[in-house]
Order: sequence, then C-alpha cells, then structure tokens
Amino acid sequence: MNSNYWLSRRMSRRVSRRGVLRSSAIGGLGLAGAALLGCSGDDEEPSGGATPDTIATTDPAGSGEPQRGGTLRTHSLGDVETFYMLTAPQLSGGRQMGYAISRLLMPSVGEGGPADGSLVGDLSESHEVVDPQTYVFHLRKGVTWDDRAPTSGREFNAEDVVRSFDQASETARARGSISNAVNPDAPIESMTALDDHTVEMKLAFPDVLVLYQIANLSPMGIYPVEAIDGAFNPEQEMRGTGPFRLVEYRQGVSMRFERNEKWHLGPERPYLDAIELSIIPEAAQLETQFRAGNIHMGSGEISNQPQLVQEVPGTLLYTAPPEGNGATLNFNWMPDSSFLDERVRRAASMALDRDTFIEVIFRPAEYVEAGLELPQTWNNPLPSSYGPWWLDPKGPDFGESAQYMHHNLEEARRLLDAAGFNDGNPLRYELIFPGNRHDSRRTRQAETWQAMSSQAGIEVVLNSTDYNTGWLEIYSPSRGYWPRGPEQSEPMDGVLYRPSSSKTDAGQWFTDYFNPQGSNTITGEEFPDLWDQVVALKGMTDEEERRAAVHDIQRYAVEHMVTCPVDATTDFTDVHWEGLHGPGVVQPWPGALGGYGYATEVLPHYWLDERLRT
Amino acid sequence: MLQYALHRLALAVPTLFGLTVVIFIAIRVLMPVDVVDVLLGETDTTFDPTIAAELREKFGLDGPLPVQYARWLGRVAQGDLGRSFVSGRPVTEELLYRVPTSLQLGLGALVITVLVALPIGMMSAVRRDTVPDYLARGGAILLYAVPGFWLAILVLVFGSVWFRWAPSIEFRPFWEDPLANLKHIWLPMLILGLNSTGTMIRLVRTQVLEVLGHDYVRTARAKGLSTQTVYFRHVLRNALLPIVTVVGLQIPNVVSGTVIFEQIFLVPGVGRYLLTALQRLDIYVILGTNLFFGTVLVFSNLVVDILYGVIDPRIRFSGR
Repeated sequence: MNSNYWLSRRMSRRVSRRGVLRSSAIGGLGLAGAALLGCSGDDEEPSGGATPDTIATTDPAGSGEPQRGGTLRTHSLGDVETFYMLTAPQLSGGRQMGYAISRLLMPSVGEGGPADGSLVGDLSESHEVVDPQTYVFHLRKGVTWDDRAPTSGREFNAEDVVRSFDQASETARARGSISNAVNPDAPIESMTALDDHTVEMKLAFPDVLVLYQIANLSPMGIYPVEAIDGAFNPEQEMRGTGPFRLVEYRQGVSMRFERNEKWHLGPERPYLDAIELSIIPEAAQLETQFRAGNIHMGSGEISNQPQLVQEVPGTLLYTAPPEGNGATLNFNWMPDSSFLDERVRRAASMALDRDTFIEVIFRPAEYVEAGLELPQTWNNPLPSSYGPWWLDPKGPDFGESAQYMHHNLEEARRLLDAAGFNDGNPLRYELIFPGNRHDSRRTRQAETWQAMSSQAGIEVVLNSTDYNTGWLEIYSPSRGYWPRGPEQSEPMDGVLYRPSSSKTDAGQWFTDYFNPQGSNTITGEEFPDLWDQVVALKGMTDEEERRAAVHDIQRYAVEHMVTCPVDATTDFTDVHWEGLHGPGVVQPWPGALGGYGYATEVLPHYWLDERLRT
Repeated sequence: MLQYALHRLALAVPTLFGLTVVIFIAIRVLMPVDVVDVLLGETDTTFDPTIAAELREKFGLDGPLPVQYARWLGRVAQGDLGRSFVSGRPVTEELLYRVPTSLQLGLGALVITVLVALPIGMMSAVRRDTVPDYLARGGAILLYAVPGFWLAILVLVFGSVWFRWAPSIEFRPFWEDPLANLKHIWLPMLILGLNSTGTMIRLVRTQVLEVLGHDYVRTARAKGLSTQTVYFRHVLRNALLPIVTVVGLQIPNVVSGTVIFEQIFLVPGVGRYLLTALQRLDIYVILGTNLFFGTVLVFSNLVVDILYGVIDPRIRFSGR
C-alpha cells in the first residue's frame, strides 16, 4: 500500500455511504465482503446524490415521563464467559455480571450530561473514613438474595461482603489488584464484619483510590456465602442482589433477565420488566437485526450510522462522551533504543497530525453533512472520557508541553536532526500492533500513523501480528514485558501499539499503566519521578488537590513523552429505535460504554414507551 | 457385509489415534505460545506468578508434553475432553449440547445438495445442448464460483435493506421447538447446501452422460423399458459410485462451512464454538472440537466405504 494512501484520501472528495449501497445493489461484492469483516466500505464511489436530511438525534427534553414495563431487546457480541468472577480464569466477561451482581460502591451516572466520576452507594448505604487506613461501610438493610433455595430470600449481611473479599483474595484472577496478602502493592489488608450491617476495611497503607477499586465489579462483586460454600453452583447460576435476575440462559444464543422487584435502589427502577440479550457476534447480522427491529440499540457496534438513520424510519442517533478505552504507542526502553532520547520521542509525536487522524478514522464530516457536529478530542495519554480529570492538550491550561502533541513537521525534523537522524540516516522503527483484535480500524490507524511519520522523514515498518500467537507472546509475562526489552527483538527500534481499558478513576489508570513493576507498564523504569507522582495521589483526600495532581501528571507525561498519545477521537455515536429512552441521556462513567457495572448503573434508567412494547 | 464393515471400523481406530497425536502436536507443540502466558498476557492486574502455576495445575498443563498428552488421551478415552480455559465449563458437556445442531445443519445441507443436484444434473445430461442444459450448466458454474459466506452476507444485508427482513434471532434446538428451529436453520442450511451444489450438478451430468453412451442403456431402451426405468434403474445407479465418492468428499466442505455459517446465522453449533475458541486460544475446546470434526470425517469415510459395497457388490468381496 502507498504510504500516503490515507492522507491522499483526505484530499479527495468525501462521499456518502448511500452511494456504496446503491452500487452494491448492482455489484454487491464490496459491501458483503466489508460486512463480513465487520468494517464499513472503504472504497466508496462518489454518490453525486442530494445532500442528506439532518439526522434525528435523541432529545433529552422530549423524553417525557418514564414508564414502567416492556422488554428491552439488546445484544452481546460474545457469549457469557463466566457467572462467577471469584474463580473465573479470565477477567473478561464481567459485563453480564452487572445485571445481577452488586458491589459496595459504584460510579454515578450523568443524567442529561456526562458523568463526573463520583461514587455512590450500591450495597453500602454510607461509609466513613476512620483514619487513612480504616474505612467503615454501613450496609443497606432489607436487601435480599434470590428467593430460590438455598438463599431462599435471605437478607444480605456483612458476612457476604467479608467472605466475598476473602474468596476474591484467594482465587480471583484480579486478586493482585486488591489483596495485600497477594501483592504488597495492593491496598486491602482485611475486611471484617463489625456487626450484621457494618464492615470494616483495613488498608496496608493509605490509599484513597481503593474506593474506586472496590467500585469495580471485578473483583469486588458481592456473592452470597451459599455460593462461596458450594451450596449451589455459582458457575452455573447467576444470583445476586442487582437490578435484574437471570431467568434463562441459552448457551451461545441468549440471556433473559427480569426485573428484580426487590432491588435495593428501587422501587421505581428499573423501569424495564425484562431485558433480552441476544448473542450476535457478526457485524452484518447485527445491522440486519437492528434494521428489522429485532434489537433496540446498536451499542456502538453498528457502522454507517448516518445512512442507517436516514434509511430506516423510527431510528435515532445519539452521542455521548468518547469511549473510556484508548491506545498509546509505547516506546521500548532497551539500552540501545533510540527512544531513550527525549527529542526522538517528541519528534515521533509531533509528526502525527491528530486532527487529520480523526478525519480519516472517524469521518466526522459525514455527520456534519447530516447536521451533527461531533466534538473532537485528543487523549493525552489519559483518555478524554475522564471528563474533569482529563486535561485538554488543545486548551489553555495544559501549558507549554502541549506543543509536543501538536503537528509540527519542521520542529520534528529539527529534533530528529539534533538527535542524529536525517535523510541519510533516518529514524526507522517497527510499529507492532494486533491487527486482528480490539478494533477493526487498527490497521487503518497504523497506516495513517505510518504515512504521517513519513512526512517527517521517519520510516515506520508496520508489523501486524496475530493476537494469540504474536501479540500476546510479545506481551506475555514470561517474556518480561516488551517495554523492557523483547527477547525476539529485531535489529530495529520498536514501538508497541497498546490499547488501554477504562478504569473507574484516572488515578487508577495511571497506577495500571505507569507502574514500573506492573504487568501493564508502558513507561518501564525510566520515569521514577512520574511514578512518585502517581503514588502520591493515593494519599490525597482532597478532591481538588488530587485533580490538580492528576492534571500535573498529564503535563509531565506529555512533556517527557513517556508514551506517544496517538488516540484522538470524536464523541461516541450510536443508533437506537425511537421509543427507547435513555441512550444519550443517561451516561455511564467513564465514557460512553462504562465499565463492567454498566447494566447496574445505566440500564435501570432506561424505559420504553408504547412504540416498543410488543 | 458385516465383516467388511467391521474391518473398516477396525481401521478407523488407529486413524483416530493418529488424529489425536496430530491435533495435540499442532496445538501444543507447533503453536509458538504458552497458553497460560496468553491467558495472563493482557490483564489489568499486577502479575502474580502463583496464578500461572495454579492454572497449569488446574488445567493439566504441568509436566512434560508426552505426560500431558497421555493425561489428555486418558481422559478422552473416558469421555472427558477437559475444561474450557475461558469459561471453566466441561468441553464434553458443551459439545454434547452443540453436536446435534451442527449435525442437523451439516446433514441437512448435504441432503439439499443431493436433492437439488441429482435431478438437475440428470436433466442436464438427458437434455444435452438444449436451453435447460445451458441454464443448468450456467447455474452450476455460478453456484460453484460464488462463495457461500458471500451469498449469506448478501441475503442478510439486502434482506434487511430492501425488505426490513431479518432471519430469526433466537435459535431453538429441534427437540425443544421444531418449528422455531426450522424457521431459524432453513436459510443457513439452504445456502450451505447450495454451496456444494454446483460441483455436484456438473459431476452428475458428466457421469450420466457417460453411462448414457453404454450399450446396456441402448439395450434397455430397445427392450421397450419406460424412460423412467431406464434412467433411474440403469443410468442413475451405474452413475452413482463416483457421485457417492464426491458426496463423501463434500463432507469436509460442509463441516468447515458450518464454522462460518454458524457464526453468520447465530447457530450455536460446534463450528461457532471452535471459532470462538480459536480467537481465545482455548486449547481444550480446540482439541475437543477438532477431534469431533476429525471423527466425523473418519466415520463419514467409513459410511462411504460401506455404501460402495451396497452400490457395487463386487467391492464387498475384493475390498479386503
């Protein structure tokens, strides 16, 4: 492929996808192939058609009064992997847990605007900080477990919390993130029941971020002691105190949840009587089912949204803050790495034109043509979904270091020249990325970065590895983690594309990715003072002080270019059917799709009007 | 006949044993990764080496590879295919749930292939160089050239775009709700069946044309037998042997086709199970499903061998 392909595309005339469909109706080949691959058609023909009408979007003001009843029909891309996070060998798959399993705390949602990351009580009614290392949770009374034996409608109590923590410390895959007995860097020393409705949590060291950690469903979901003692098999039955109860599970086909009439955050919510979750792993099938009205929302997985909304009467488009996931290009820190030179790292970043990247990858112009202006933001590397915790590199508060994220080919070349790289001796590095995982757009993204870098005289060699046999091997623990030096390195500098997952808190994001000893480190051991700043967050009880410190960390990360923040994005967009109220209005934290607890945090607020009550 | 069948069955045993060796080596030796590392490779936690050791022990991945193989084979012999690395559920249990569905899809597709290809192929041969023959041959080439998954996607996309139509979203097993099951599975079955039809039509036509030129067909006609008797008793039966061979050869295509079609049409069968496992490197599921597919192929070949004996009695005596 021509290295300037994506850039030259930008210069060409933008076209609508309607034209693609028309031409496909005759030829058909392109669309079908693209649909199978789960991506939109890239080789579009100019439509030459009329300007599309303005697309309809969700109007929060027009939502009306919530009504009880109805069945929300939605989907999941994959089958449920586990019903029991305390022993599951995998971390993923926790999303379905959120329908039925509760935690002590959870992030609040934004209603009519973005969420701000504050925590609210789930099974904990309130909590107090006795001292920096002692927290006491006052549990809700009257919360009951499933009516079926052996829980038999028993009241939830402190023992359930303590035993769930103990079991998580012993067998949960994520135990290293919470239990100090397993990992000296993990904060929680013990949980003790003071009485039936009070639990004391002792920390090994002061850590205000621990509250955000236990607001994460993995590993701090609360299960009944009967599950832990084996009185029923929690790997086969999902039983919790959450807003919904699993009443039917068909392997590989569907799950049906019904309203928990006794939910402790009720009785008005959830408004829905039931949720039918069909497992639809294939992109074309998903769009087909949506068009036919068999599912009510796309959950961000359907492409061609402006076209679809115009073609299918009764569908709406909504927007939300960007997804909480992001990606960075991680430099390697081997002794002879060119990236040990800060000037080279800055040059690599300044070669990238992030606004153009957004145009190429997200095609906001298609939404603008349809009448919808999408905000565009740059991750810094903290994803922009972290609202007030994120510092805008294009804003006035970021400071001088923001210059290293702005496209400046002249300066990039000057820095490279100073570092000894020039046309005769260009900087050349391998960009390794998992081409078949995470996002079908990754290859296009990598090609875009490659093309942009070439304009600064940087030669980027793309290496798309298979996720299972290549990528994870580079990344695997036995290899000692790539940023510290791959055993299989070629005689070439390397940059590793690294996706990040959303955390409940910005401090947690830094803890995961900047910890020199952590499994997810992207900074290696090169920036001890950066890690000191992250550790200091744990002792900051004042939110304003902590937010300022989080902003300082972002400035530091960009100034020293500890990783190259490449992700730039538009707001999240998705489609849903008219008659479903909630998408776009109720917004989870962080970002549009929230975390594992999405179903508890968001879906109880959704409701259906008569149009979708069939 | 029984002796012939038993002889072929006995030959299947070492074949299946060889299959387990090949599958195990392919997954555990040739694949350049440690599956436990893969499982732990991209997590959000601080790496805990005890977890890796626990997982290896739990899933029988500790010890030298020959010991692991012997352990796995011993369990397989007892009907235990191990547990999924991802869900922790028993692979045998999952397969038992999914096998009937895949067999229904695969066998149904095969029946469709035969039911469509035999009459069209015969008609094409009998009416050689007429308009119906041209149409049949053109259709056969079209079906041969068009990939089945592409056709499936076209049906999905244009069905929804033009008619707001979508196939059934919720699969039900046949024994639970036959009508709902057929409503869901007829389309993938049809397209998967048509996928192999082009080859079959061309083969039937060629074979029938060859038999039509033989003396005994002319004799049968000269005797005044009805056209139907000539075609079905004398022509078709003599053309069947190579056709049965090709039907047998189509089984791997049908089996591999289920992997894609089950994914596209939301059919919870073995193929989709395998595809998901490959994406996750869920080794016991990959081993188990491949063993299943291999066993299907071995036994389908066995059935074809036995059918030879039924169609051509001479093979029964010379087959040993």
